[in-house]
Amino acid sequence: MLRHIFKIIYNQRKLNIFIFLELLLASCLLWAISDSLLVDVYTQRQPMGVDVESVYSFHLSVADEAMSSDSLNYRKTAEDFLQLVENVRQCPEVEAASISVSAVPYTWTTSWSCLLAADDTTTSPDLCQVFYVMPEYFQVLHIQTPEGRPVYEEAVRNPGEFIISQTLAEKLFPGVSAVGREAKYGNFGGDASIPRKIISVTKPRRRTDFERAEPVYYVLWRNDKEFLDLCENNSFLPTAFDFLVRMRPNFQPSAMADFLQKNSARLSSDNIYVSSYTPLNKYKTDMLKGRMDNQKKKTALVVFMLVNIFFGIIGTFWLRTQSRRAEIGLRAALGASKQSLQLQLYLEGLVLLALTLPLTLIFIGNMLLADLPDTYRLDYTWWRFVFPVIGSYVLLSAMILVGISFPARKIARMNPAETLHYE
Amino acid sequence: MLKQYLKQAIQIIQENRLVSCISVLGTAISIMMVMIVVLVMQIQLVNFYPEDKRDRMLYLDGGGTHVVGNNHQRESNGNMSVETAKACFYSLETPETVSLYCSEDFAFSLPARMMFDAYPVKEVDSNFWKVFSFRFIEGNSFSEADFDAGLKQVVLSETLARRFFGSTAVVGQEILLNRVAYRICGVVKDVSKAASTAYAMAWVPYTSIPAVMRQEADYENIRGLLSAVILAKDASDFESIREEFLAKVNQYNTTKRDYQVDFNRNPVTRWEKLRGSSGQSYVEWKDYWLETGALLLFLIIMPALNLLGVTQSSIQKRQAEIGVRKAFGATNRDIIGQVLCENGVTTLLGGFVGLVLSLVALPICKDFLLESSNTSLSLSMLVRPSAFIVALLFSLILNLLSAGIPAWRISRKEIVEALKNHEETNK
Repeated sequence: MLRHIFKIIYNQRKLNIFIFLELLLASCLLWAISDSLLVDVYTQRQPMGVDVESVYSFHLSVADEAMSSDSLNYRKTAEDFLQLVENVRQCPEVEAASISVSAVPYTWTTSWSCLLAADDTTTSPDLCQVFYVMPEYFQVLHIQTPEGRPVYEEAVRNPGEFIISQTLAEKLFPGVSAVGREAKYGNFGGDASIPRKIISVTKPRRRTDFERAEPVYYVLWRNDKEFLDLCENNSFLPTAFDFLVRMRPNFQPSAMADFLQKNSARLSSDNIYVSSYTPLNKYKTDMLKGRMDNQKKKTALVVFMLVNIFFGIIGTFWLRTQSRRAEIGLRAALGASKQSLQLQLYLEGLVLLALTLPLTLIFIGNMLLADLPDTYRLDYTWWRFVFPVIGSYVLLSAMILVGISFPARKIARMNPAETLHYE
Repeated sequence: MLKQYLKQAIQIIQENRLVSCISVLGTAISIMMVMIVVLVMQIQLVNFYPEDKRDRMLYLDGGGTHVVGNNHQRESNGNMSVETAKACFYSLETPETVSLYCSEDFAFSLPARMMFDAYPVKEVDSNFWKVFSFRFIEGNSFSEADFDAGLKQVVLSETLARRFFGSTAVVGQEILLNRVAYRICGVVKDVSKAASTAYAMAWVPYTSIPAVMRQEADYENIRGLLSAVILAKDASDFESIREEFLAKVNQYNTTKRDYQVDFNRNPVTRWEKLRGSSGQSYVEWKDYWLETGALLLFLIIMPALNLLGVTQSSIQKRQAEIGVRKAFGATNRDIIGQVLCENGVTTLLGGFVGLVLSLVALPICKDFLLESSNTSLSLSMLVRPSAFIVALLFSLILNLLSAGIPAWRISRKEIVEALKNHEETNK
């Protein structure tokens, strides 16, 4: 049977070549797209390391008069800021509030620096992202230790300056616990000669849903004085800092405008005030838009390909049954049942598809040799090979079967006597 | 002759409705996809309200100002200060106008009621109103004198005016931006996000914002918040503007001790922006076309292969007819012409349906096709003669691809062979 089908396909090669090429193009592209979608979806499903649900970023403004004056008192505005944060914490709807620098998830403002084990004198350090935070930051973003305990409690209980992510801990102290050890800044970031203590380790933290966890670390301001000194010495305005607020779980996002209006008196402190807010979810949507759009565009391309395959198959096989009416009539007259005639048509389509498999595999092999698939986010293991290949071929087969079912139905309606009439 | 071909083509379409349907639909979907890609490009390129002089504009977008320390200890990409703007941009003489602006979100409230929702605002100079052609529903823009004086005046978009006052007759009223009182001087028709340089929901003089005017001693007063847009008298002036601009930058740098400013490859034209270039990450034509071209090629090749199979078998069925025509003296060129013409009817029909479909599909799918969500689209962005020409062009390419080979093949067949081989041979 199969041999017979091969023969038929070969004899009609001039017609089949186009649909074959189309299937080949589609199977290669479908593999490439499904492989990249698989990596995307796999990465998306990994834990983020921070929880941004019900967290809001409050934006601060400094009164115009203070901004325009030449003698702006930086320590005073920083004190006002601390007072403002304390006011917000007093609100019953608020669970936690924190001050930080370049530490709002899903934003482009970032700081980068190096961290080394204190006794390490040989390694040249890589840059990694650094967050300057108050201990409450861990409370706001629900950051946990690898064991699932809140980092905030450890930060409050233990003295020290650094908290590092598990990803960085494994790099700096392979095989041993990093907690309680000392680390120092690399070539820049701070004074490299003073080792500081690591208080705790957090779960791996990722920058966006589409990226792998990279090493990060946190530098803690232990008390208000440290924060005030920082502002005074560097002429930092409160607007240079992030002000993150976590609302209680039962708080509805739609109630935010009312909440702020009700508390507008609390939301200012002398020269500084809260002017507006952004839910972190909005930052998330904005930052992921490009990647999400990309997924949708890829899906649209897949649909386009499948529709084309459907049209191609239906067209080719329809015309084929038409021009082979005589042959089909003869087969029917010689005792072939309608089912077996239809089966033959389906098999012809599937065999045509199967013939693309070796070439597609060569294509995949070449892509792998050229290192084009993304192996940074997901290792190329057997299942990553198997699922996209099977998925692509299942989809294509389905389209072929649906496409052939139209001409196949026509065969079922054929009257052998009439078709032989054409002979 | 052509009439004869047309008649024949229509006859063929009617003869095998299913296959004709598939051909037309296949072409339509392909042209639709191609046109969506083209329309997305078109939106970034053509003139529409209020950016109706885009072909004469040069851009320095956010992040395009590059400052380097003389001993390379520090460098940064960001925006420029008022001082740098005056030295390098306002002093330019070749262009018609130069406008400096920056973007920031502000919370708008009424004096009686504090509100905290933020809206996008552009902080602009008075030239901004000359570079872009805003349509004022009420009032006017702030004058140059108002700008110099740093008066707190604001131009609102129609939507914002209606949201806060319920009408557009609001000139002279007061509104708070981050708790600072501004007087409304005008209301303009809404701007689409597709006009990204002009887009905002309100516009204020940047001289009224202390944070913009503030000189940061860090980076020797170079670093600030401003971006720039240049309006040339004519597109052919771009080169001379760039030359004058570079001279100004060099001159400005001689006044600096520790830092130097350069603007990478800024300012860039609309075409350069289209291919994803900003001055700091320049995309060459080659790389852009490699990517876009591959996509367009794929969108054309896929259905072409489809149609090839169909045309091939429908032509083979007509071998005898073509044999007869040749026997009566038709040349190869006649035959090829006939096949292309007949097939052309199908592709043009498909192409037209595809163009219409793309104009329907783009507004539906705009949220993931365009850069920012909720971009409002207008007819002047989409319906353009150029779009029709491109659609026609791609339909013709598709026609040539899908019927070219079968036509060529059949025309070369010996008359005897063509006549002998009747219907059933499909080899």
